[in-house]
Amino acid sequence: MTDPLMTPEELASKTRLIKQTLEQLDAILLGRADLHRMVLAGILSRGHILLEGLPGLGKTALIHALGQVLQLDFKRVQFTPDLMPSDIVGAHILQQQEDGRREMQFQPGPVFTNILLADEINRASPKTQSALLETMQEHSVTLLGTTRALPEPFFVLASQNPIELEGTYPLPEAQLDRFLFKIPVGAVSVDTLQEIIRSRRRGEPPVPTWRLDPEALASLFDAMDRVVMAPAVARYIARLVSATHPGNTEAPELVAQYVQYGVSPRAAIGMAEAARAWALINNRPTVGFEDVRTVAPYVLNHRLVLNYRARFDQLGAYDLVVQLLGQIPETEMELPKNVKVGEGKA
Amino acid sequence: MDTEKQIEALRRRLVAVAAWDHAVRGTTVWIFLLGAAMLVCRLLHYRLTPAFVASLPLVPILLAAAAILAVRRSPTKEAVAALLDAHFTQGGLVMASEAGLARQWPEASLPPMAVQWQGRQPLLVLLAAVSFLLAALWVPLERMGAGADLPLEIEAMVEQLEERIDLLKEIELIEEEQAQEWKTLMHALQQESSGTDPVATWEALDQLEKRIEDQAAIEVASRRQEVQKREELVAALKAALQAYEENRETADAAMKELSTLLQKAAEDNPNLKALLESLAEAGAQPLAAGGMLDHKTAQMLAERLSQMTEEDLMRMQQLMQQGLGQAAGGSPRPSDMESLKRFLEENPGCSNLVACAGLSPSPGNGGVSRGPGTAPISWLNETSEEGVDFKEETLTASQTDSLKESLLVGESLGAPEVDSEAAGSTGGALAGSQANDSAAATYQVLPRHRDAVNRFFNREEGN
Repeated sequence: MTDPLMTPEELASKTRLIKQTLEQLDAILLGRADLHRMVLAGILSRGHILLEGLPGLGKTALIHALGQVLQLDFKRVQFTPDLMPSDIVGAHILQQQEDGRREMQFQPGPVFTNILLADEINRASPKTQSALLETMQEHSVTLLGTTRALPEPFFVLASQNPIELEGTYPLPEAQLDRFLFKIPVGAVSVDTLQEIIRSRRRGEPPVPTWRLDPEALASLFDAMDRVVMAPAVARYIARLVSATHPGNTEAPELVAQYVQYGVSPRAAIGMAEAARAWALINNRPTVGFEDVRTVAPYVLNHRLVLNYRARFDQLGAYDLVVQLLGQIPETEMELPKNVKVGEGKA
Repeated sequence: MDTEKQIEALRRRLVAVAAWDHAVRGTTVWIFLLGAAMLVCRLLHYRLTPAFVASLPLVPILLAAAAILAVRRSPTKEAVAALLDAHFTQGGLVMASEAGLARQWPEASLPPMAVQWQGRQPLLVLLAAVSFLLAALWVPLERMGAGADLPLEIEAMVEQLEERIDLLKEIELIEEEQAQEWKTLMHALQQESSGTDPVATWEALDQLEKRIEDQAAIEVASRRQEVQKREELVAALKAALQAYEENRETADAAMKELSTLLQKAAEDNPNLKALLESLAEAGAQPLAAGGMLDHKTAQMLAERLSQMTEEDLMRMQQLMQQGLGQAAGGSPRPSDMESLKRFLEENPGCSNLVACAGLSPSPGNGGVSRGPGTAPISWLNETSEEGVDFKEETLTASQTDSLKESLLVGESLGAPEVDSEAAGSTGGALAGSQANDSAAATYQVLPRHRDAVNRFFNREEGN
């Protein structure tokens, strides 16, 4: 915690960009302000996002709008059971040259883009799902011994349907761990629905009136590096991640009861990055405990492996993380049992 | 208030409240322990005041320990800043301010933060501890019967005293009735000692033991005094006899007067009368009125006198003092005891007899010219056993048989006289036999040895 903070003026310019981006997204997709902020936090953290929700809730429209606003290359792949890895990463095909010679030529797949929309990712076979592992982690594709870098920035925004599980292949834990967020997309309110009915006659979203240029996006990424995280906050993240392991002596009873496997250190890294992004979105140069609490459920919920007892008790990972946050105090200050700190007169 | 000051103020309040919490908890534990200690003291009948006084210095030590513990466990500034940041959701700005990184940012205006001590439970426990202490101090344990069943181990003391009483009874220092009385008293004490006051029992046993020791000391002193008087009288008489031999003329007159004195003393003293009669039977010269005491009679008289009781001796001493006093004081018959008095004065060796007779009751009166004189009884220097302790001599078998036929006429403190001429043989088949009729009749020759004995005595001369 030795780097100087951003000045208020510096932060204000970044905040202005973020605010305009969010305003465009809010205008395109009605009633999803929180979702837009969390998705933007994922983008600023350079993480991949898994959107989970029923069909027709605007997942694809959100990702499409994000690509438009950020002026990033956008490609969509509809995952099906017969989708092959080469359909994703590309393949070498035999091409006849103008001089009549024939040679194998690499044909890039849709993964060579900035934003890849993997629609209904759980419908592809594990073989195809695994083809995304290298692209998501290394931002590169290796084919026939040749490694090709993907364009930066690169994001995978995937969606999956929590119902209609017949003929689907649940994502393996290694694949899930590559996603920074898993964001549930729920239904909108009545007022939002009414506004959608009124303004979207044929279901076509409006075209964004303002776009974030690449230099501005790069400056936002630079600002992310200058968001300061206090040691106490980093300690809080570490304690949270450690508390998800049922074998840990400091794990609460809740974890020991329902969790089979805790989350990885990659989750801690992702949580710290997401907390920085959330602080930046909220116009702050420092990360607070509340930033961690806000992003933690979206970072941890798809990484926790719950046991059968959690299924019997119908306890989801998201709810479990929320309960866990209530049981882990932000600070490690050891006050006597009868001493409480609160607002009011001393 | 700026952030830095607020952090420091909150830290101080946390330390103060934590110190108070530690003090209350420590005091509670201390009071519980004190109550338990008081309870144990009361059950064991110890005095409570020293325990209270000893526990008073613990109070400031307890408070100091609570303060030190609170200071040592006081949170760091970083931790307090994190607490403030988390509580007021400041997004890390308070922590950055504490680290000195947010100088370009305005100070956060935070409301005051209270540190509360939720002391209901600790105070209830403290109240329970105080109640326990008061109960330990004031509950009447005696009425509840606590401690009554505690056994009081005085069995060893009672047995030791019993052995001492038996020993005193065995050496006839105390009477049988006295020993039985003490034993009864001791057993009664043992039965009553199972109550709640062991100190009283121990004091009673100590008093009884002291009484036994005092009684034994008195008896021993009395016996020693009696023996000493007998020794002095015997020595005086022996000295008188020696003087008699050396100065026969004066001594004859003195012995005549002593004889008269003895006769006079024997008139109202049956023991003395029996003594004189026994002297006559033993072959001494009859003590007629005004008769002389010859050497043998005087020697026998000395022996008999040594066997007399203290009462008889006192009576005789009184009479002698009376008679001699009349001679010295110009009584109507001044010549009665004049010779005896002059004899004693002329013979310093008889001064002990004079002392025994009480003519010179205190040293320095001119009655005793040498010797220790009278002195208070002292237990420091023990009396010499010379002349008192007997030399052990083994009697031969014939002498033992002779004793069987003898009659006990009295006991003497003087050394026994052994007649060496009457000693029997000391070896062989006739060991211990004497060459007289009684000895021959005593030892019977076994039948299988009779022929051999007959042949020995019937052998012809020359064989």
